Amino acid sequence: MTRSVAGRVCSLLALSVLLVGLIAVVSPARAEAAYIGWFVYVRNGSNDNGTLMWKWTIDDFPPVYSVSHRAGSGNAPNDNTNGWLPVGWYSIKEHWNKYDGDINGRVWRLSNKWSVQNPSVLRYDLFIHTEETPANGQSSSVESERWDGPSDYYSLGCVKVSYGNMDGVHTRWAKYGGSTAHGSGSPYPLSSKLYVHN
Amino acid sequence: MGIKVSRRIVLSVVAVVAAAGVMLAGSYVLLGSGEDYAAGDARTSADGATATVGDASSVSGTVVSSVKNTADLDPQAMVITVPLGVKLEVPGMFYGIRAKAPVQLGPKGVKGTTSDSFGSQAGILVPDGRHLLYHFTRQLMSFPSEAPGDPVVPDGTPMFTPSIRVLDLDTGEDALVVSGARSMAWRSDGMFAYAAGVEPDYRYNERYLQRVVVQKGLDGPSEVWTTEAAHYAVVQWAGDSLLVWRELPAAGRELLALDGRNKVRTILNAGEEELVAVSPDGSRMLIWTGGALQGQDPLTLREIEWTSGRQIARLSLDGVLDPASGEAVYSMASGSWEGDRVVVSLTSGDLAVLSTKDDALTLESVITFSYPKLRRASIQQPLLDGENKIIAVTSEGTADTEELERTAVITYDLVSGECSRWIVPGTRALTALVANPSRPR
Repeated sequence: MTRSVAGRVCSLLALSVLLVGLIAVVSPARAEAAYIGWFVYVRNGSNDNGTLMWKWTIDDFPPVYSVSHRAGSGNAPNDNTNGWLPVGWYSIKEHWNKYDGDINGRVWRLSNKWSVQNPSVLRYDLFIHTEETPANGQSSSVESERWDGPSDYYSLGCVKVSYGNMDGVHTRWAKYGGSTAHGSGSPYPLSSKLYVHN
Repeated sequence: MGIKVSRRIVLSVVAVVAAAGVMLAGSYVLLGSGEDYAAGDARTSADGATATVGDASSVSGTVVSSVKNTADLDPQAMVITVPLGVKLEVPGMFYGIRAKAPVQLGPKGVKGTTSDSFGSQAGILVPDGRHLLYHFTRQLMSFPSEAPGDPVVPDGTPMFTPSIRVLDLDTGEDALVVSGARSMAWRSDGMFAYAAGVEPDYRYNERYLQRVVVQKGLDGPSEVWTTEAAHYAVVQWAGDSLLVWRELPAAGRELLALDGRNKVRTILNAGEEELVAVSPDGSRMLIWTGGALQGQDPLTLREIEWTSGRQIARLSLDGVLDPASGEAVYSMASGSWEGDRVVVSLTSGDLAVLSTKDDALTLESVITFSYPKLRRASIQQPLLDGENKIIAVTSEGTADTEELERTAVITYDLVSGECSRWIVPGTRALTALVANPSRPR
C-alpha cells in the first residue's frame, strides 16, 4: 500500500511537533519555545491566484513549518501602480484586529516600497487583509465588508485572503512567531515579516 | 492599496468560443456580448487578423508583430526619461522636437529623479510652446531594503522632496517653480494647479498629505482649493473645473471636481468607477466599471456627461480576452480622447480603439503588440495624435528578470498598420510622455 507524499509529510510534521512538545515538557531546563515566523507571498504570475504562506521555525532551527492559503494582489500583471506587490522584503508596521476604516477588521500594514518595473513609482498604503466588518463579521449590506468569492482577491496592491482563511492566518500570526500585539506602537514595526517573490 | 475589488468569473474560454461559433484569427480572441456591443466597422488589419462577432457586431483584432526601428522620436511626441540603475539619483533628459537636442533636466549637482514618485504625469508643455513643466524628486536618502540584517530606517525619516520645475526650451534656463509639490495641470488661460505637500518632504512610511493649490501662471497669487489635507493627485482641467484624485488609505481613490476654494464635488466613487479619458471639450468622460472593480459585473465602459452624471453610451467588454493568458480583460489603465475616437490601454497589454460617434460607444478594434522582448502588459500611456496615429510607451526586457532592459516609444498608424519604435538612446532609462494640452485637435 502506498501513501501519498502529502500524507507522509503530514505525519512527519505531526511527529516533529509532538517531539518538540515532548522535549519541552520533559526538559525542565528548556525555556518556552521561541517561534520565529514570517509571511511569504508568491505571486504565481496572477493577480487573483497567488499564495500567502505563514512560515515558522522553533528556536530558529529547522524544519521550517509552512501553511499556505490562496491570496491575491493588484489588478494588473505588473508591480506598477495598482499592480501586484513588488518583490522583496517588507516590515509589518501595524496590526489591528478591529480596524475601522476603508478596509476593516484584521489587517497588517506593510512598509512602502519602490516598484521594480517602474522604479520611479512608490507603492504605498499596502496591507494584508480580507473583506469583513470591523468586528470580524460579514455584512449583508456593505460589499467591501463581505467576501463574495474569487473576484474579491483583486486589489490595488494589497494582499487579500478570503474571509474563510483569515482565522487561520491570524491565529498562526499570533501563535507562531508573529505577535499578539495590536496597534502601531511597540513592538511594531517588525522588520522582515513579509517576503514577496514571483 | 487594497480596496475591495472583484471581477466576474469568466466562463470557460473554450466553451464560450464554441457557443459563439466564431472563427478566430491568429492568437487574437475577441467575443462580443450581445446587446451592449455596438456594431463596429470590421477592418482587415495589416496582418489580416479580423474577428467577426455574431450578427450584430464586429470588431477587428490586430496583432502587431513587425516593428521598424527609427532614429528619431515621432515629431508629435515629447518624453522625459529617468535613468535606471542609479538609485534614482541622476536626473533624466527631455526629448522632443521643441528641443533641438536632448536637454538635461534637473538642478545641477543635486541627486534626484525627473519623475513624480506617486505616479502622475511626468511633465506638461505650456501652451506657449516654450516652457516645460516637469517633476523633480530630490533624493534625501535611499530606501531600506527591509531584508533581514539590513539597516533599519525609522518611520518618519525624510526620504525625498517632490518639486515642480520649469525649463525654458528657448534659453535652456531651468528654475524651481514650487518645492514640496507634485502633480499638476495647466489651463489654456494660464491657471496652474498642483498638489502642495503639507510638509515639503515625504517621510518614510507616512502618507504624503497635500492640499490642492491654484494660481495664475507660474508666479501669480495662489489660492488653496482644498483646505482638507489628503493625498491628492491633480488630473487635468475640464472646462473651469479641476479634476483631482483623492486617495483613500488602502481603499482606492475618488475623483473630485473642484470649482474653487472648498467647492468640491465627488464625480466617481472609490472602488466603483475609474476614469479612462476626458473628451477634448471637457464635457464628457469615459469611465470603466465592473471587472476588477465590481466583482459580479463584466468590465464595462460608460460615456457620461460628467457635470450631470447623464449616461451617453455604454459598452460591455464581456468576452474580450487577453490573447496572452486567455483570461478575460479585467481592468484598464489610461486612455486618450481625440475628436470622436478614444484609445485605451487595457491591463492585458492591448490597446482598445473606440468610437464615440453619434453618441454611441463602439469598439473599433483591439491592437495587440507582439514582438521579441516586449514585456507583458507593457503598452502604457497611449496618446492619440489627431492624425490617426497612436503614440505609446513600451517596456522591454527578458522574462527572466523583473528589471527593464529598455523602454521605447512606439508610433502606430491606424490606417496603414505600420508601427515604428524609438528606443531611448544611451543609458537604460524609463520613459514618460509629456502632456501637450495645446496640441491640435
